[in-house]
This record gives sequence, C-alpha cells and structure tokens, in this order.
Amino acid sequence: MAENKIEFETRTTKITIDYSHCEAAEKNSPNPSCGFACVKACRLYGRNILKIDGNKPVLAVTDPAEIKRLDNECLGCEYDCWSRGSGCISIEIPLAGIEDYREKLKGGK
Amino acid sequence: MARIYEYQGKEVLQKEGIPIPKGSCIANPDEAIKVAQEIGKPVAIKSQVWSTGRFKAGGIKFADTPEEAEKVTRELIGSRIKGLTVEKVLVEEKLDIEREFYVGVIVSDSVKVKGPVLIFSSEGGVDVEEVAARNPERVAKLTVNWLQGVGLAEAEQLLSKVSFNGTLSSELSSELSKVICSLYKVFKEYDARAVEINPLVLTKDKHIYAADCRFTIDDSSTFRHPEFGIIVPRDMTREPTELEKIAWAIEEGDYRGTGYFAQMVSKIEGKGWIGMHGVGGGGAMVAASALITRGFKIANYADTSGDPTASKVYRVMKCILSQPIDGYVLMGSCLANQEQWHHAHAIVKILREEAKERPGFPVIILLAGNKEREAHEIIREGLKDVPLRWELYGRDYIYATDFIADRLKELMET
Repeated sequence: MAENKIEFETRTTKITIDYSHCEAAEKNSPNPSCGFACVKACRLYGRNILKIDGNKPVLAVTDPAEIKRLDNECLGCEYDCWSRGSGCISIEIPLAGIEDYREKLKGGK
Repeated sequence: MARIYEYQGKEVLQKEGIPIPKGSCIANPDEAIKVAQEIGKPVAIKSQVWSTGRFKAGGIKFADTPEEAEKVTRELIGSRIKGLTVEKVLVEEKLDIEREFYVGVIVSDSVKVKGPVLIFSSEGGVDVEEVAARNPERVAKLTVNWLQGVGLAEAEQLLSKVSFNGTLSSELSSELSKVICSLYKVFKEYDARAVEINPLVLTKDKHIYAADCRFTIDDSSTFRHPEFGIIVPRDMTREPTELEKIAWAIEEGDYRGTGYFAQMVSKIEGKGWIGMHGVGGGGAMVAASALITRGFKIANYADTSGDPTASKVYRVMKCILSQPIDGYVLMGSCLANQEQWHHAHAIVKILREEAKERPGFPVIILLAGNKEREAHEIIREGLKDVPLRWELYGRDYIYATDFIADRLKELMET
C-alpha cells in the first residue's frame, strides 16, 4: 500500500498521488492517455517538483525541506489529472479551525 | 495599524516613567468594588474600546463610591459604544484637573518629512487638529531627527514654540520635557506609528498624569511585542471575529502575495449578504460602490492580489464561502499582471467542493489580466457540470462594475 501512493507536503498543502488509480502507473505505459498531464502541469504552472520515472509521475525533488521551499502550490497537477487523466491526485489545503467553524454555523442555523 | 487598548498603553507609559492614574482594567463588574476601594477616592470608569469621543458617547462615567462604581461597571460592560461592544473597563482614580495638555508622536507621511513628528498643544482634552485650526499658536510641531532622537534640548525647543495661557513655570516645563522625552522613547521602543496622550493632565496638587493614551503599532512589528496579545495585526476598530482569526493564518508569515480577509460586520444576520472578493484595492473600491448602490449588504472584504499562490486564493475563498451569504462575486476589476491561471485553479477547486453544499448558489466571476484566456478555459472546463449558477467575465468588463453588480442582483433575485 505504501508503494501504491506518494504523499508529500508543500508549505501549506498535502499532495497525494494514488498510483492504484493512475493510468500510467497501472499500465506501466510510456504513453498514457493522460499524457502525464500532472508532470506537464507542474512544468507549466509550477516548479518542476514532479518528473516521469518508470512510466509514472514521481518526485523530482525529494528533500522535504526543498519541496516546501520550491513548490508554488499552483494546484495545477490535481486539476490537470482530473480534467485529462483519472483524477488520482488530491490536494488537501487545511485551514485550522475552519471546519469546526462551518459546523458550528450549520448547527446554529 | 494594530491598536492596543488605553489600559495597555498606560502600562507601557508607566514603565517608562510617565505617571498614570492609579487603577485596574477589569472585565467582571464584581471586581469594580475592590478596585474602587483600593483607590480610595472617586473613580472614572472608562470603556476600553477603540474609539474616540467615548465620553460624549457615554463610554466614560464617574462614581463617587465603590458601590456606585460596581453599578456603573455593570451598565457599561456588554453595552455598545459607537457600535463597539464594551468587554473591559478601566477603573481609575478621578483626577482633580487644573490644566490639560496634549502630547503626541506620530509618523508623518508627508514627502518632506517621512518620519516621526513631535506635537505639543497647551490645550488638551479636545481634538488637536481642532485646536491647531482655531488657535494655531497653542500647537507646535517638531520634526524629529531620528538618528539623533529626542533629548531635553529638543523637548524644550518644542515647548518654547507653544503659547501657554500665562507663563510656563520652570518646574512645569521640566516635567513636561521629561514626559516628551519618555514618550518618544516609548514611540521608538515599541515600534509605534502613533502614540498620543490627550489629555496630559496637571492636577491641582501639581502632579502630571497621562489621563488617556492612544497607541498604534506598526503591523509588521507586532511579532516583537507578544505582551500586547495582538492576534490579527491590522487596523481594526474592534476585536477580530472568529473567522478573521482563522483567516489570519493565511497571511501570517506567508508573504507569497496577498490573501486578505476581513468581515464588514461581526455578525451576519438576515438575507441579502454577499461575499465580496477583489483583486487589487482600487478596483475593489469601485466594485464595492457598485454593489452598495444596488442595496447589497457586503459581508466581507477580501483581496487576492500581488500574485498569491493558488492555495492562498483557495483558502481566502473558503473563508468567504464559510459565511451565511446569498451570493459571491469575484470583482477582479483590473487588468492584473499576476498570472490569473492560479486564481482559476483555486476557483475551480473551491467551487466544485462548495457546490455540493450549496447547489444553485449564485456566483459571478470577473477575472482579467495576464493568462486570462487560459484562466477562463480552466474555469469553464472546471465548472461546466457544477450545479451552481455562475457567470464569467473578462477584460471587456473591468470598467463595467455596474453591469457586474446588476448581473449578481439578477442571479440572486431569480
């Protein structure tokens, strides 16, 4: 299970790539239908944190401190994987206290 | 600029040797009797709110006995003074005033100055600008050489330019000079933008006291002063709301563009409130004007300019949409040079999430500038199957804030 996904943290987000739903990884294909949209997105909108290796998207930058320093949190990989691929990338953007606040508001209505 | 309360400012002044009236700040009316008993004479009970004109507004009262002090404190705590809720009061000795002065240090933004200015007025207890207009001879200013600072020579020079009613005794001049020097020291050491004592009181038994204190601190310096407990270092006339405190985390320590959020009211009730989101302050003001003239109630102001990360934009929008609003508008009424595809990614992510909670919610997006075409493609694709009522506009509409406001009105009324 641990090998079937990668998770990494940027300065304020957590990015997960679930290989079990990644067409490129699943099929071990050098030409997936998504065209490695996530890696291309990282190149276009982001800071080249991702690269293609072994027919799947992997981290090009592995030092956690460097990822946090470099990544510009563009959300491009998640969007492009969703729109052109299988939607196997998810980005969490926590904001401390906001979910409790929203729950409280719902309860007060 | 971040503000501190009168009682906090007075504590600072006292530390630097400027006498203040004896007293304590309390939040519980039960404590008023004890404080007044300790003071042992008539007291002033002063609402601790960030507003001028507290006395006229009924925020400062007097009590001759401890029992009366408790009664007055109960009336004040929880009351509203100039729209602000009183949570604390300062119970302090009532001064037997002979004369009132004004002394302050402010930062002048004038192109000729761009630095601290000392101001002294021989007429205190009233607005110093009013005195300067009516009796300019009573007010003097001195631009501070900030490398040199303020010593007794500078203080005496300032006092020598002021017209007092009658002569200024050498003892009083000496006391005032010391206060001026100490006040400047406070200004510098606490990274103040303005610190004013109005009035600086001479009592009938010839003592000097700082009877009031207004203190603002440079927003960027509040981290140096944790003792003040400033949670959201912004220019606010009230304590931050819970949502503002949450939103502050977006900005705190993260200088990648702006992710600003502030609520216009501390509680949103009823219908007709909209979440307002601007890109750039100038355009946002024009936009707000268009919205207000159509009777919209603006729940918040938010700004995401200066090339913020998509993650910041997402979180700001999440705060906006966490309010009980009836519509949302992104009024990017400017040709922004930041790459707008970052906004587009954030907009799609948050609105796709939000649509599950609020199907049919009205959304108007005006987004223009660098990478506008790509940003619009991302938004159109990302929101095409989302159950929101949304409209998207670009650079042809950056001057058409009235039209955008009308579109939002129509969506909300439909």
